[in-house]
This record gives sequence, C-alpha cells and structure tokens, in this order.
Amino acid sequence: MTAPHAAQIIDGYLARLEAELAHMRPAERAELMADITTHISEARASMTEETDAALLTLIDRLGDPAVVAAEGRARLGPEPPAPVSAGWLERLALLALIMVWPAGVVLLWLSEVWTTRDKLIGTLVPPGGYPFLIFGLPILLLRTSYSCSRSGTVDAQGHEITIRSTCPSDWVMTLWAVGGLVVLLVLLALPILSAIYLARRARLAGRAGGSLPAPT
Amino acid sequence: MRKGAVEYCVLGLLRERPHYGFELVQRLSREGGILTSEGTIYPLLSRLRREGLVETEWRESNAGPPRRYYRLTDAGRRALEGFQEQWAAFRTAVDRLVGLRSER
Repeated sequence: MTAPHAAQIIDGYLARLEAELAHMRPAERAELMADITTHISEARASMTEETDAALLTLIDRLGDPAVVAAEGRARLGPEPPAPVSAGWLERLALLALIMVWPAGVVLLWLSEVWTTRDKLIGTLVPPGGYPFLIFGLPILLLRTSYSCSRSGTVDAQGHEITIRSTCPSDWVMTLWAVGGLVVLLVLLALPILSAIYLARRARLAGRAGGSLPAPT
Repeated sequence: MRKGAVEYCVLGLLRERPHYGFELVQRLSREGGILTSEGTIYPLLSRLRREGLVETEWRESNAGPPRRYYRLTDAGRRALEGFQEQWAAFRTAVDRLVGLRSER
C-alpha cells in the first residue's frame, strides 16, 4: 500500500535535494539523485507497512538536503568549470604574438585558457604588436613632426638677438628627447611584457591538482 | 573525527564482500552513531570510487531494478590497513588520556 501523502513527502524531499545540488556538475548531480531515489525505493520495498509516518522517518534518516549537499561539495570537489591547463596551443600563441602578430592573435582567441580580459590585453597591448611598432609608429611620429620658427636680427657685436621664437628652450627639447626615448623603449618592451603576463595567467589557470587526503 | 572514520568503516564492510548502497546504509545504521545522515553515504561512495579505493559493478537483483555493487580494490585494502594501524595508536592514546586505561 502506498502511504496517503507518499508523493508529497518523497517528491518534496527530492525537489529540495535537487535544488541544494545546483552547484554540482550535471552528471554528478544526476548520479547522486539516482542513488537517493534508489535508496528510497529500496527502503519503501522493505517496509512492512508504508505509512506517512514511516516515510517521514525515512527522509528524516536520509538527512537534511543541505547536509547531503554539503557532503557532496566536500567529497566531490570544487564547482565547474574545470580549469583548462595550458598546452602547446598557448605556447605557440605567445611565440606568435611576438614573432607573427596576426597569427598570435588568432591562436590567442582560440585558446580556452585565457579569459576575455586576458585576450583583450594580449591583443591591444600594444595593438598590432611588433609590426605596428616597427611600421606604424614611425609613420605616426613623422606625421606629428614638430615645427617651430625663430626670427631675429644680429646686433653690432655679431650676437644673435632673438626677437620672436615659437621654439621651446633647449632643456625642454632635451626633456622631450629623453622622454621620447623612454616611451619608445617601453613600447618596444610591451609585446614581451604582455606575453609574460599571458604566460603567467596561463600557469595560474592550470589545474591546481586534485590532491587526495592521504589514507595512511 | 566521525566523518573521517566513516569511509574506513565502509571499506571495512567491503572487505568481507561487495555490498550495494542501501545494504551498506543498513549495516552502518545498525551500529549506532556512525552515520547521522544516511544520504551522505552516496557522495562518500562516489568519492571513494573516484579515488580508486572501491570499484562498482551493476548486478541484477531478484526484486526491482539492477543494483550498483561496491567492491574493495587493492588500493582500498592498503588504505584500510594503513588506517587500522593509525586508529589503534590513536585509540590507545585517547583511552589513556580520558582515563579509560591506566597509565602504567
């Protein structure tokens, strides 16, 4: 005989349990749900008389869904998605980013190791990689070349007297030159720096290792 | 402490012969205080299988659907033997400290 409220009691418990297991991988959740469902039918089959009280005792002994779920969390490891570890694709991508930039970008976006943020950094720092730095940057610099004019006369002793000048003084020009050199060096180092950054990110995303608690 | 011991109680039961899940629960529940929430045995069994300490096989049952049986592996046997030694030393120490055994 089926207990009067069997469906409510059993289905209610299973629904609460399934909700608590939302964090688990679908396959593991399905397996645990099947195990518990089997347990319930075995237990019901072994009852001499199925009553609501007996069913309530049954689910009470199974335990709070939250407790069972916590055991699943502790026992079955962390939540998905499982981290993907870096392989040859990532190594090739980093190499290509420095040597053959367009191919590097394609490989970079094909990889599943890096996050979208990492990929954007790899693509845009600097945009175009070395091809841009070697061909694009000089053109850009030439276009914004600086011009100034200086006019004046020569006095009786032959000294030049500046009357009107739009040119900055010499030390400002020196500052500009040094600053430009520093910027240039940083720009030249950028592709390597972002490759180093990506390499570190790839290693960080690597599998942390599912360590078993040592049985001995 | 109890939590850590339950898995070895399972391995201990499996040393005799393979069991199916519900059967394990019944036997553990007969020993009071080992299993507080019976449902937690299933995630535990799942982990033992993942760690290679037990293996499973489906067997037809006389009544109802096929049952998944759990069997001890060699690795499981070694883990159990390791625990037996540790547990014996632990039990002796606790017994002495709480006064169940005289310190002579």
